[in-house]
Amino acid sequence: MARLKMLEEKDPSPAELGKHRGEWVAVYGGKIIAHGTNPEMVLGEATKKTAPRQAQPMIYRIPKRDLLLY
Amino acid sequence: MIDYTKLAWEGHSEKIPMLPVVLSWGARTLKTKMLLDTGAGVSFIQPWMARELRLDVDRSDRVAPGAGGDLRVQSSKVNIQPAVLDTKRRPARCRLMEFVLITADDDSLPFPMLGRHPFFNWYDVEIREKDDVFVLKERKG
Repeated sequence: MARLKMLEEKDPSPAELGKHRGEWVAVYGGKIIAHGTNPEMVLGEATKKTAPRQAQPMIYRIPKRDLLLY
Repeated sequence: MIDYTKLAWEGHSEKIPMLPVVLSWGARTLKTKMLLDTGAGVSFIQPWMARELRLDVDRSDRVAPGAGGDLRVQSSKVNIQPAVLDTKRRPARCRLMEFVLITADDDSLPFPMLGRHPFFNWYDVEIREKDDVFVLKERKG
């Protein structure tokens, strides 16, 4: 796997992220390109979409509820 | 200066200080975000991340005491690079995190977490809660 060219990934909008609380989201180009509760499946699906661009998505978890309640 | 990650739903909102990072080991890389946690002594990642990166894991069981109770963990090493550019648009430095804890399952913690050792020895972190941003300043030496 080639080393990544460092680019800052933009976040999707707060409303867009808010639709996926409790899920892992894969983000590329400021858009959610895959999401779900199984991070390995989310990453696999997203990587297929970004592979033609030789890019890697960023994957992170969106909290399910107010952090203070965890 | 790095923006908090923000979400909004049904009249509610949340903002979280998460740092975009690239974790790597050998030729494997993973771009993710880690919660900045000044209350954690060390950093934590989830087991799926260790599998993805094919980390060499010390399988001895350990217990990490935390505010939410004890966590069963194992340990490893991983390279970490903040996925941000500095004020001159240069990438941040990649460094070896010689000790990172891996939780027993993917749901013990809501996020991978960046604790104080060693990250907060490498960077001074200024939290600007009211501005929804935080600032990383790399320490010299």
